[in-house]
Parts: sequence; C-alpha cells; structure tokens
Amino acid sequence: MKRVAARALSALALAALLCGGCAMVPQNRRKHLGDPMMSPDGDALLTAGQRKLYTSRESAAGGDAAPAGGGCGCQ
Amino acid sequence: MRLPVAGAALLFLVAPAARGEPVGNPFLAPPPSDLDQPALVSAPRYRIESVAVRTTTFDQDGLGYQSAAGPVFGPGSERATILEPQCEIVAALGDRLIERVVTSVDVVTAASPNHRLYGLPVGTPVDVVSSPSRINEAEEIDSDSTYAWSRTATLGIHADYHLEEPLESWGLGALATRSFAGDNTVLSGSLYQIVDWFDNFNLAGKRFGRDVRTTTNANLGFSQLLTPTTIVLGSYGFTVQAGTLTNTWNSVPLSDATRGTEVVPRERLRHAVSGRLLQWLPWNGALKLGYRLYADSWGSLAHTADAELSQRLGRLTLDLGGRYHRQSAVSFFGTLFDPAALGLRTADSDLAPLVAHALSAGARWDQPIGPQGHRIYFAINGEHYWRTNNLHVDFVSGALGWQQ
Repeated sequence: MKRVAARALSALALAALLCGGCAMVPQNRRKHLGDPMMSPDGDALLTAGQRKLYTSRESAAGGDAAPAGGGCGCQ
Repeated sequence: MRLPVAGAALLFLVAPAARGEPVGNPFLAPPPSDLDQPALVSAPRYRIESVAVRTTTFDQDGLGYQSAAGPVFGPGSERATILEPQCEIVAALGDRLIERVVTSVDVVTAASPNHRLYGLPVGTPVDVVSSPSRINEAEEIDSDSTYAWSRTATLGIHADYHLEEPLESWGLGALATRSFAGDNTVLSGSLYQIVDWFDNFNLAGKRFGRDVRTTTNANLGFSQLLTPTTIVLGSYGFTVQAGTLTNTWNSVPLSDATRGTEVVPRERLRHAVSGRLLQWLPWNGALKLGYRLYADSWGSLAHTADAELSQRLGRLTLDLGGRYHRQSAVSFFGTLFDPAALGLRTADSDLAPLVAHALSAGARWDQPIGPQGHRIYFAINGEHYWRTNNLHVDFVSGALGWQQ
C-alpha cells in the first residue's frame, strides 16, 4: 500500500510540474472555462448526494479532496 | 453530508464566480480591485448570492452477509429507503468573504440489519438498535467560510455537525489556496478532523455505553488551465481513522449456524489520488473525465473512472454520466467464519470484492427573471447504481434554485 501511495504522490507531483510548463491562458480567452457546465464539482447538493451514495456502499472513499469515512453511522 | 473542502477551493479560484463575480462568464470579469488593498474598515456590503433546495430519494435493495435478516448461512436483506431534503444558501460579505451554509435531513428506513430471525425471544425489538433500524432521522448542518486573503490567496474554514439517534459527529476543517501565473495554476491544501461519538450495541441489542471514532484527513491538490477550453485537476488525500471502526451491530455468519460480531482493526490508513479533465466542446457542451486510485491498510485497492457529458440547448441543459468502480476485498473479509477462531473478521458487503456501475441523467431549465440578471432554475436528476454482489440503488432528485 505504501508503494501505491508513493507512486500516486509521484504521479501527482509530476503532473503538477508538467502542467506548470503549459502556455498561459489569458483572462480574455477564458469565456468557456467559466461556464457553469465546466464547474469541477457541478451542482454542489447533487454531488453531495452522489458522494454519500458511493462512500457508504464502497470500501474506497476520499482522495478527491474529501475525508474518507467518518461523519455518519455507516463507516 | 461531507463537503469537498479543497475541491471547493479549487472551484473558488478556477471560477471567480464563487467570489461573487457575475455568474456565467467569470473568467472575463476583471478581478475585484479592492483585493489589492488593505481590508475595509467600515462594514462591507452583505448580499445573498444563491438559494437552492433539493430533495432526493434513495431506494436500495439487495443482500449482504453482514445482515442477519436472511437465511442462517446466507446473506440478509439490505433493503432501505432514504428521503433527503437539502437547502443551500450562499452569501457574500463584501468582496472578500463568501459564506455557504447547507442543511440536510435524512429519513432512513431499515438502516441496520434485522435480527429477529435469529433466536431472540418474542417481544424483542425488531433489531438491535430498535427504532433507528425502522425509521431513523439524521440532521446535519455544514458551514464553509472562504476569505480572499489577497488577489492570489484564499483561506477557508469548514465546520459541520451531524446528529442521528445512535450517533453524533463533529467536523472541523481548514484550507488554503494559492494561485500562480495569472490564475492559470492553483495549488490547494486542506486539513480536516472528524469525531464520531456513538452508541455501542451488541448483537442481542444490549447497549455498552458510547464509543468514539476519529478521522483525520489531509489533502493536496492542483488545477491547471491547459488551453482556453481545457482544465486539468489533481488531488491526493491521506486519511487516518482510529477508534471503533465498526458500527458495532454488523454480524458475521458462523459455521455453528449462529451469528458473531464483526471484528475490525482499530486503525485504518487510507490513500487516494485522483485526476480530472474538463473539456469544453464547440457545440455548446462539456465533457468531464475522472479517474481515482485508492489503497488502504486493510488491504483494499480500488480503481474508479467516471465520465459526464453536458449539452446546452437554449435554456435547457442536459447531462449524461457513467461511473465504473472496481475494488478488492479487505484482507479479513469472508462469508463464513469459525466460531472458535479469534481474529479479524467481517462479512460486510461494502468491504467485499465488487464492481459497481452507475448511469445517470439530468435536465436543468434556467429562467431569467427581472432586469438585473437574476434567474431561477429547476433541475431533475436520476441515477441507477448497481453492484456485482447483489445491491442496487435508484436515486431520484429534484431541485429549485435562485441565483443572482
């Protein structure tokens, strides 16, 4: 498990470094990026309901910037 | 309900709309000029940004070996119905502070296994926790405060409280984000602490006071604008759980035709890394692709992939989504145990080897109201979730909202 975690962290760091070398997108060319359809989390209440559905019925939770387990009677 | 703290932070910087700027075209809007100045001395302006209400029903059916509501050596029922109304209010205090409050109520039927088939005397409550297993109401309130420290940095605090008949839970979190290269790159970090305090029941329904479980979580994340139509996000989360990590009433089938108590370690370390690609499509649509890798100290390894396609047709937005999840079992999972053996054991179907699929669809109608750009919206969403180890859930949800 430690090996998997180390590899995952390395991949994340590498991705961040590679992305850091990307060309800049100026403010006046971000029209589409600001569209609500491009929101990373979508509808917050809907996403929360779906997250509850998955995390209470699968052993794997967390890693998407949310705690894994705790907070309710199911885990 | 658990809020994606760092995810919200990424959204906060990737989409300046969350800072109170006009919704719909936030990347074109100039940044608030006073963010480069010292904080205001006089009271800043307070305004409601959005209000939303949503009601969701979860209709679950299936079988699991941790449930005693079935044959002696076989899996028992996991039938449950959940009704969940939610309300969200987002308010801004000046240009620096955004406050988001969410309340939710869960009304759950059959929340825990029914043990009446296993030799308990007539008159015994239908299950070990009595009423929570028949109808259980859970209430929760979440609060997120995000403060724009400067043009490129934000700080945030998250707090929540969860209450249900056998359990209380407190959560507190903090986050920080920093953007670079004209908001092209955003790095974020968050810490989160949860304490659960709950009743301990044995399988016969006898109560043994209170137990505690703690969850400590740390996240690192980044987002990067790749092109004028592409965003990529990544995050890593590490979680340590300690204390009583079972709900205390899960059972395991024993070879002498009785049921025993689930026994799990008192600590669990969980790692997960995820990546997400958001791509604008030239026909007024958007595509989101995600992948997550998970591993923990109980021996479970999981891969999850998901995709979502959105299409706008005038004021109507349609969504289609799919999700695939594959996990291996925890190392001490089984469906039949030796009653004389001492050691870790679980028959919980959630910890079994399984593949889970989900297909979802949604529609949203946005209606402008008034000359100031306000709008209301209606949304309906549905999802069918099914697992290879005999469980399926139908999820139906409707929402009504108002936004500035």
